[in-house]
Amino acid sequence: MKRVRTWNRTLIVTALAATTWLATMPVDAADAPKVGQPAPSFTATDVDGKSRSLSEFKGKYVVLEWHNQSCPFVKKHYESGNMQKLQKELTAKGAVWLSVISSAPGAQGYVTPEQEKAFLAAQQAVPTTVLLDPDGTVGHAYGAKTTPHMFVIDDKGVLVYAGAIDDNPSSDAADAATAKNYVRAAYDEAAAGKPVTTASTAPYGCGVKYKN
Amino acid sequence: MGGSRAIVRLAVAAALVAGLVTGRPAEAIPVSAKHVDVELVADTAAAVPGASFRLGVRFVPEKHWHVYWKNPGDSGEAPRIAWTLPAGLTPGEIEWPTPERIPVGPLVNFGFEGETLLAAPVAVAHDVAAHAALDLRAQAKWLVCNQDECIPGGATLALSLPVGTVAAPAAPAIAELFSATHKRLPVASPPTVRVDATAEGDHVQLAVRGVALTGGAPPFFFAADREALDPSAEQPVAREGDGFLLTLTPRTAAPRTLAGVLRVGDRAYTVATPVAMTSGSSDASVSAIALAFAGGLLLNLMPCVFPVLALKALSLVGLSGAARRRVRRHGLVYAAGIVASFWLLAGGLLAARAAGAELGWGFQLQSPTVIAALAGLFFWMALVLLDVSQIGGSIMGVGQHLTTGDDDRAAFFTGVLATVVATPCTAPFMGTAIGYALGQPAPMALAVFTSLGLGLAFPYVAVTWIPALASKVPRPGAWMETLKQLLAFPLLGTVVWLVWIASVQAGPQAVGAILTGLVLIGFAAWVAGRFRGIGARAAAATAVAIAALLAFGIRPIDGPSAAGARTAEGGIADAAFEWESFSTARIAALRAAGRPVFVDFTAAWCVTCQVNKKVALETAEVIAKMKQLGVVAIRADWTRPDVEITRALQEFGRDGVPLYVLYSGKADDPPSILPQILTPTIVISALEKLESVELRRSST
Repeated sequence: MKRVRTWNRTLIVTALAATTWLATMPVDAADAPKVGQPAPSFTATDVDGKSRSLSEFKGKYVVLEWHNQSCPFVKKHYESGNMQKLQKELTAKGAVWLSVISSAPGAQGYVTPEQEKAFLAAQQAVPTTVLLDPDGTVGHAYGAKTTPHMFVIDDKGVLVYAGAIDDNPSSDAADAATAKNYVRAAYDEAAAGKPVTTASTAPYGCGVKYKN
Repeated sequence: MGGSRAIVRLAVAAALVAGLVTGRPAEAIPVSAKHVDVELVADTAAAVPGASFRLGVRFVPEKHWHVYWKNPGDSGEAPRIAWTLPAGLTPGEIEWPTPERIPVGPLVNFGFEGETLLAAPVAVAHDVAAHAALDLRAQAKWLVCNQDECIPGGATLALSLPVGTVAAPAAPAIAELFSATHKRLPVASPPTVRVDATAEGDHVQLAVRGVALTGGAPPFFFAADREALDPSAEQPVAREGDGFLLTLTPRTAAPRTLAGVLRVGDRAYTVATPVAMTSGSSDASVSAIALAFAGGLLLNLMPCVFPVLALKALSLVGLSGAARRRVRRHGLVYAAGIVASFWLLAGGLLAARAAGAELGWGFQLQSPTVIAALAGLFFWMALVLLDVSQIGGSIMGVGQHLTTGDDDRAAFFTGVLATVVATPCTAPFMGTAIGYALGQPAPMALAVFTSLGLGLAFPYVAVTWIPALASKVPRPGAWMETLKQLLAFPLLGTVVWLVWIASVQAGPQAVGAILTGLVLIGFAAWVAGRFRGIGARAAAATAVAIAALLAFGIRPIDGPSAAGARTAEGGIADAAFEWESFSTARIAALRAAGRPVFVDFTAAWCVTCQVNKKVALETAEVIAKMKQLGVVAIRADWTRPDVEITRALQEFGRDGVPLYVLYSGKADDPPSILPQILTPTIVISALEKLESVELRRSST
């Protein structure tokens, strides 16, 4: 009987190998950067005039939040307190939170460092810092489309989440509390060493007001 | 926003006053919000009981401002409209006009610049009192944007509509708006137009046939689902045959299904199609052939095939030197027998298809005569294994040394037998591959069936050709006899299952006939094993002939599926949970009414289906979840031939059961397809996805 089992096992192993081969056939997206690959490096000036780059946060989780304080979708998450709550929660766990403003000078959402500081104070927002990206260099490197558009980078510098902040693409502040927050879920799973269940979603919000 | 609220209140008050005065035409007061004027309008000046009319929200954005389509594209947000209508009025889904592609910097939005009407049909019940005026309300929320900024807005809109006995024309400007909007609605594509989607590498190819490319804007596909495609990606077009190819770019991975609107020139068609998956950069046929091979391999493990093959492997025990060469030849002839049988099956299936019959894999099991014959065959095989009979034992490799001159013939028919006993089983992957094959030209279909046969033959051929594997086959001994007899019992189990299928298909008479036939086969086997000579052979042959006649005499009965489906009025939430019979019209009606629908495509002869039913679909937790969400459960029973069900399966690119389809309550959502192997968790999480959509909608 033992050898019959061996024969049987050979069959199963062959079948499984065939199955695995079929299951791993590649289906990829065209968008850069890809989740599961190293996050693009960048250097930008923050609201305090300091030069910051992704490499200085190696070993930490980094959350990128594309930001435009005049966009109704961004207002939804700040006026409801949803964004600040997430900032407090994740930075308390050791993550770095970078808000990025890619609005071109003269376009909606473009702010001076002082205007942004006033906004942060008024909203009691607590990102690690805010990056000013009026040329859109960082925005284009990440393919940021909307405000908000969220990215989570793990402690090894790999992009583990890209997309919407949550699963309710509305501009209504009341929806923020009931929606499923993808960023929190991605951070929690990745930090626990698990694969991220929802790693890529369609971002929603206002278009990023890039320089033409 | 305070200003607009005051205006809304005024509008509502005015509408209420108007409503009290009978005989006055429809009246509404437009709301002027930031950058857009909004108004509730109807395509008639009087609602007629028993008829229906269209009610819509008219948006007039300022120049260069726009509102959005149901999928807003890269940014933005679709308008939301919640109706509040008097009793007796039932609104349908919003009919979204074909959107425009609005580039905003590097992004692309889908929406409407200029005057836009988002209207829905409203059914008026017979018992709505004439002379009353109807107070119609809509809570509208929208986002209006230009190239630089976006402004959210909202208003409660009101319209007072008199009830009359005949429809009265709406104001000319409004009537013109409804008629212009009607022309902008996408329509179902005519039967001459065919749209197929295939995933190829990073892209999805949309093949459109039967539509000539004309001048004007290039064709564009607007996906209904935000997550499906990258809105800003170009959609390169290439002429092909009597149509064209459109290359679409998914946001991440290629979606399973594509639903949306295809704009070609000044026409627009609604499209809903499954996306055929291919292996990376090559085409679908390679994938189907690979799937067929995997399916064939797995068939070896199915309970109907495994006993036969296990015995074949045992027949190799103790062979050496010269015998080994014979064994190799034996393996190849066996493979040839399998492949030839599959060709025969494929040929029959394709010929029947060409003659216009609606067939799919498993069709052979829709005939109770075939079921009876298979039951007889399995019963006989069990008798051989239990040593009641020796007739035909060589084919199964029982107690034979492979040294006789009948070698090749025995090997070939072992292959045939393996195929025949495999027919009641469908292994994973097989359904997809065969479904694909039957839609292809004959050479491709034959290639898939060949691959299936080779997959089935592979393990035995491997054992005969690779000495290392053959040496793993154990030494002969008394255990072989024990194992051989033990393997009779899975076969007897299969007989019980086949008899049960026949009882569903053809009722108690059939069961009586089949069981009588089995007794006759048992008698024949006993006579042939016990006595020698012409008389014994004649007696055995007569018994088998009578059994065959009994099998041919079985006629299917009309089952409960002929009974009509339940009417639309039946409330599922209150009634005990029950499965409705399949009807395409019923599903369409339920979807139009916003009800989520679960369809179970099944058959009594499909083991996977029966297992799924017991372990997942009919568990208390799944039923409770379906009840809670008001899901209407429909069972498409394919035990007997059914053209409507065959067509429905084909629409999902399938040619056999099981197939599980879940429609959300939203008419435009593409249906989700559940895996072929179900657990309660799989079903419940699929239902919960529906629930979260439901909650989201009710919270807005």
